[in-house]
Amino acid sequence: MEGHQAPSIQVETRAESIALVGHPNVGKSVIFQKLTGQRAIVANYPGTTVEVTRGSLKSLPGTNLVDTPGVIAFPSHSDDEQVTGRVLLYEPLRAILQVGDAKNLRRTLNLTLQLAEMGIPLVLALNMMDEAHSRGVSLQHDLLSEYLSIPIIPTTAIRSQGIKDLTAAIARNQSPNFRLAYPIDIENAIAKISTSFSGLAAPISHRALALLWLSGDQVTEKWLKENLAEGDLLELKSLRQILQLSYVEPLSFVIQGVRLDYIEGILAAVVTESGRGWRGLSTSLGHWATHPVWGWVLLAVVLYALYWFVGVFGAGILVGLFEESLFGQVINPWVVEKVNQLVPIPFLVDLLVGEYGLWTMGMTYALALILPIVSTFFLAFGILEDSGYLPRLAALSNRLFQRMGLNGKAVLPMVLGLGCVTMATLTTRVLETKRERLLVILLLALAIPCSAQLGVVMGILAGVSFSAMLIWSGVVGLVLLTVGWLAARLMPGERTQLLVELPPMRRPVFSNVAIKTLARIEWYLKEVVPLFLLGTAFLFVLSKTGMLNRIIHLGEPLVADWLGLPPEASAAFLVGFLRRDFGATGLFIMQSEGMLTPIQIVVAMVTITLFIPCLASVLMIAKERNWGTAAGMVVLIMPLAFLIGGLLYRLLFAVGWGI
Amino acid sequence: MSSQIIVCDLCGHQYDPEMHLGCQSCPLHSECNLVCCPACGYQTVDTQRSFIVKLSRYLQKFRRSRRFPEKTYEGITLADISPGSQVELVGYDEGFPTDRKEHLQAFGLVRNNPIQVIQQTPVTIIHLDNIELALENDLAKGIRVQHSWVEQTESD
Repeated sequence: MEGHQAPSIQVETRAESIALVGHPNVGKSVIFQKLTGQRAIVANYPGTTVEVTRGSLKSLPGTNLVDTPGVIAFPSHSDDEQVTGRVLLYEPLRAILQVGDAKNLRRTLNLTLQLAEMGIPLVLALNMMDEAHSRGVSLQHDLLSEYLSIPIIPTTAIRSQGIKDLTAAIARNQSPNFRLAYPIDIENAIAKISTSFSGLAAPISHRALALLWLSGDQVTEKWLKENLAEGDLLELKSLRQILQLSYVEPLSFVIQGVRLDYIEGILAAVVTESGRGWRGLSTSLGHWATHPVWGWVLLAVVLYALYWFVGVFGAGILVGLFEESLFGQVINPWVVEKVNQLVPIPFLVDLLVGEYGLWTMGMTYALALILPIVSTFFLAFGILEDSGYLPRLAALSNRLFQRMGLNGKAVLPMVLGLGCVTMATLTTRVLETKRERLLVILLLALAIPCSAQLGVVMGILAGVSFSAMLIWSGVVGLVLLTVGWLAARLMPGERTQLLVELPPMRRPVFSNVAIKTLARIEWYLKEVVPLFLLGTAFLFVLSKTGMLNRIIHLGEPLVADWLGLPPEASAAFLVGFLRRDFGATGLFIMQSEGMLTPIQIVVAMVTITLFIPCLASVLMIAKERNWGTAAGMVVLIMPLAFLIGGLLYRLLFAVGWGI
Repeated sequence: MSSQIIVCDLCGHQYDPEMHLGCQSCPLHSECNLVCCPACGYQTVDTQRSFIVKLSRYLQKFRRSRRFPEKTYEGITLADISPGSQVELVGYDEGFPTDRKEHLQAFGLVRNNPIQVIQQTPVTIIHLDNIELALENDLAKGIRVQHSWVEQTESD
């Protein structure tokens, strides 16, 4: 099999978008940031870029750079990979910029060949050259560039090396002249398929389209369904079936095999490995992280550090400083005084600085209580993400998720859910089947507390006792496992087995972590503060109209009799519908005023954790799946949260805990 | 006619329970799962007629097939390799998921490319082409390999 230069290219380049394509975790987002000056969230694990991010190229004004989710190769399998497929087929592209891992040329070139066959101008950025050098891999990129007839630029994006050359190569807009010869029967099929494409205005070359069709790519099938007559499509299907009869292996596997054979030849010519290998501390740390014994020890250390940093330092020390000292003694008395002086209408004074005042409740909750907690959480989480620890957690926890009908990959949205359930719901796209996505969305909505809430919960429980923390985490964990186990058995379909790449453990880059933390805090302020103000205004209206007392009275049988809490806690549960951390904060205040006993605190925290996360997450579930699913989850989750809370109250009371 | 032969626990006589004339003439025979030895009269259980024995055998069979899928390949698989060893791909089991096969191939799991096994529990972790891959043991059981004769390069 040989690759050679093709006589003509069928693709017109008419548009002003450039697609940024590559494997997961090769630095696409960093290159995006360098080329556009904008910040897409960058993370050291597969599947962060769940949505397509766009930015204007600094060097070519008017040209859009489209950052796509990582793809291993085509045909695409997960929802995430299909997004990339759709960008290539539906977005009118001026060029493709592939970002590849320099130390892993085989895998990189497998995708390069596919992209080069598409005929759209292609530039390959061989990124992470520093890691390749440190592993003793040296490349002759000029020779490689000649073989493939595309510009190849070595880069180390994180240090801005090679970015200028990359910009220049993109501006040249050079179409590849690459053509790989496949076995004769596949070539005959490509020729026949290409004939039936004649007259078809395809965004990629007819040859590449034919190969994608033969490989069974779903996005291509959809595109052809929309653009070909039904009869032609049936003919193509039978052609593919007949060709498949000549092979034992699936066609996609055979076609990829031909590409890899060709790449084997190239590798021999352009790559020299000194055999130094890689045995640094990061490798050892990576192995400890997945070790059957040390892995769990390391996880316990990580969790304890997280608890200390977020729960003790963030929710204890920082909140104490902010809430009691700064807001309680300085800012709030000043604001209350000024408002009383300047605003003559008592109703408005009440609305701003009263019991349910927009400033004294809404802004104080958001800025003095939750902001220090989420900031510490975002910082800690950013460090974890950047270190490459999370995919190892997927490998370590695979068995646990197996019992819930999932695989370890589900740990990624689950852990992200500890940051924000709404964002994590979006990340479920990295999971391969609909069944897995639905299961994870359910578990996220039910039993994964988000950072804001987790911080508040940790803050409250750390103030009670360590055993309170253990009871809370034990009950929530048990509910998570039981519901997961049951749902996996009731939901039809097969579990997919784990296959995940473990990127090298790296020392977190300070600027990366800082940027991510700041971007997330900005998101928090934009999204959460308005909701807090809305919730406060809602409570204010209820209190002024006397509805609040009536609701508290109505909720009494459920909150007071069943959960054993003071009737005033109804208000906290009511605003919990908007955001459960808002509800938890209400309970936090009640606890600090000495209104709750240890049992009541634990019961209240378990119930509010199992609550629907927030209005935004329900909207996200409806957007990702549909309204039926979102409604179904609310109907399932709310009674379950109260049921478990009530049972726990009775159980703790019966054993005499905390009395 | 039954193909079952019962060996009497008391006298060692071998007999076919269906041929026992005494049992045939008993009015309770149709629901009875006991049988007596024609030579010594010792009573034993006719397992082929016992509902409970049949049920427990069925359940055992079910349990066995659920827990241990039949091994179709006699050679070594990736799951059998001890950590630290180096192997090469031979092929895949029939029924190995196609999408997984494609991904593994794209990751560089091809013939003549050395694979180093790093660990087997809790999942199989392999090192190839400067990357590490974690795969579930069930997947590793479907990947046929052979020991690589290439001398491993000493690092450091």
